Amino acid sequence: MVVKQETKSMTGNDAASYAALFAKPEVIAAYPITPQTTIVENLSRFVDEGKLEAEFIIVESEHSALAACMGAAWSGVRTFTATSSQGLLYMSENVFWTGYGRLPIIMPVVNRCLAPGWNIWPDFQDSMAFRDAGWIQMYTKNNQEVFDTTLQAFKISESKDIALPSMPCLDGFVISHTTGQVDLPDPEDAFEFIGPYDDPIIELDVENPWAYGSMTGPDQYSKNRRDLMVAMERAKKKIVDVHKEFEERFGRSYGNGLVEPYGDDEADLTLVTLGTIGDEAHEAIDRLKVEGHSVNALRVRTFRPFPVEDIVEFAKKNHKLVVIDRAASFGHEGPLRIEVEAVLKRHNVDTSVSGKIMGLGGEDVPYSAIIDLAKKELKE
Amino acid sequence: MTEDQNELLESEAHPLDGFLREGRIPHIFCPGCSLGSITNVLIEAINESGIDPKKVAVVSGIGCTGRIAGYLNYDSFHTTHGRPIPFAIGLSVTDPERKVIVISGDGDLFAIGGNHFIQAARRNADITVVCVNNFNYGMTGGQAGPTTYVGQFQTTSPYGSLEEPFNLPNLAATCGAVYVARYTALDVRRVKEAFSEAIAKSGFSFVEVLGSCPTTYGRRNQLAEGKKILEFFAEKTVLNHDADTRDIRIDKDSPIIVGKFVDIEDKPTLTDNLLALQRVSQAKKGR
Repeated sequence: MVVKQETKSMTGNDAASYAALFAKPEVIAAYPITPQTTIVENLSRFVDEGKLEAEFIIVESEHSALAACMGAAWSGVRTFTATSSQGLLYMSENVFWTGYGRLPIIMPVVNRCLAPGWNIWPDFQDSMAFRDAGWIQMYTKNNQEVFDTTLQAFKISESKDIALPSMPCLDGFVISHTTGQVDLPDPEDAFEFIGPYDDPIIELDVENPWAYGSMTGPDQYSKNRRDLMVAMERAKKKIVDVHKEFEERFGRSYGNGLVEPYGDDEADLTLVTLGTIGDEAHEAIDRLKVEGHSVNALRVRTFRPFPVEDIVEFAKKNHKLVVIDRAASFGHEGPLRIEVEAVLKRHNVDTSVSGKIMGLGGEDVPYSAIIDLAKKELKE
Repeated sequence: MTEDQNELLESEAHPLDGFLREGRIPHIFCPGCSLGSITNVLIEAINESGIDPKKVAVVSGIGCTGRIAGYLNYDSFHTTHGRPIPFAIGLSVTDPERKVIVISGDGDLFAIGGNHFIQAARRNADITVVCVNNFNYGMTGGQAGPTTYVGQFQTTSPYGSLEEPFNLPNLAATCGAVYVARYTALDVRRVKEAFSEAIAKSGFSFVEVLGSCPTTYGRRNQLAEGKKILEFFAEKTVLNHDADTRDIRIDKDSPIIVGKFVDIEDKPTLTDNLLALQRVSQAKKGR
């Protein structure tokens, strides 16, 4: 049965901080960076108001923010931080440590492009740089999904059979600072959904002391990394299961949790997207339909682990995919396009794939631009 | 007033035209912020130093002060957060004739970038570092930082800060800086003198300028106008060049001690040492 919820209006950053509040993390370490700052600002206020019993650690840099979270996660408590752009890059040593060390830290990344030139507007270049860091990455399309995804992230990451950190991604400003409708459950219902973190993956224990981060020879090292690969594979099913459980309790869903299709099952053209461009594509598809064009969409919600099977299945039913990337792998193509193409090739799907990189550094991507792209692709 | 000055007042030209990048103006600074006057005297000091503008490089990190480099019509670098000093060292050692000036804020230079400051001072890197200290992280909305004094109110210290702030001149002096001065933004004449002396110095020179930040510092500390902060400085400032830098920490109630605290000659710079190392290495190899 779906629980009672209250409709509120709030920014995407507010939505992320409410999800964290309801999850009751015990340690939050944070450093300000635009456009993330208000997430942790909200949390510091919740701590001050007594709504959240957590240690809120103010540090001198992002590198230290994640390091402090790592220490906390090792001690066996629920841990949260958030960052953006250059802050994420400055953390990078610890981002990889967290992933490869299997610490279940939840860190929303408010997507913002990278310098130079200095620019605070969104693209996915920041989080895409951490594709291989061993984090679960989920890209959201609106404020509601930010709340839902962040809440789900705790339940997914903290499962003992998964033990991976999560990076819910939200477009800077377009989501983070824009007010929208969010249905909030009661805090108790939200907390009950993820449950307490009382059987931690790693926990300090003087009776059974462990050494962390020791020198590791090639045999054990390669085994560790293979374990991580397998955990990522397991995470796919976990994401689907948690998403289904979430739907039963809260009545909202995003496809199967890995990908979200939109429009008819089969169409002349399929738009493959990430993030808010996925939401904008809905408007484009509806308008194209009125004009008699057959276009559908597949929004990749979970980018890591990559939903290979779902993409193959969808592509098989369709004729032509155009992948819209909001980042570039310089010297090649957009990262999403590269991966979609590789997957189809490997699975012998001959649906044609093209791609377009749009929205870099906050360049606006209105539905009209998507319509123009679709019409051009339909003609070719 | 001389006739020349009169002409200047009436003309549309600004005396510093040509030293600012007009395309970047208007600047982002809030009304009442002192960064405008500090930029002004920095340009004047560079100008009067007689250094070829082509041999001047200005480097900033991130934050409000971090924007200054971008407004100046010299070789200017708006670098990553906390890293202007290592960038500046690279610029300095590649051309010992180049005058490299770092101008950045307290958050950038002493929180995220703190390690670079102490190492550069220890090694006597041949750069001038100007820190505009506004006692908080201004650009991100007024969080407490490493120079926030005990009892100061900021977004992350709503009950008054409890932590001991850095005493910047003392930090610079103990780490080996050859020139250390501190003035407030009210005293632009002395700020300019300090800039001129620091620029003329060979080695690691450091000037702390206490700036007025009405928006994110002032509003939370009963100093909500730029003028009020300058009045606060005027009331509290005591000039004492002979002060022991250990005794000049800033707090809520004590006087703010300003002055030139360190001015040492003839200490080998990082560039001197790199060149000496090259000579030793070549001599050993018989080259």
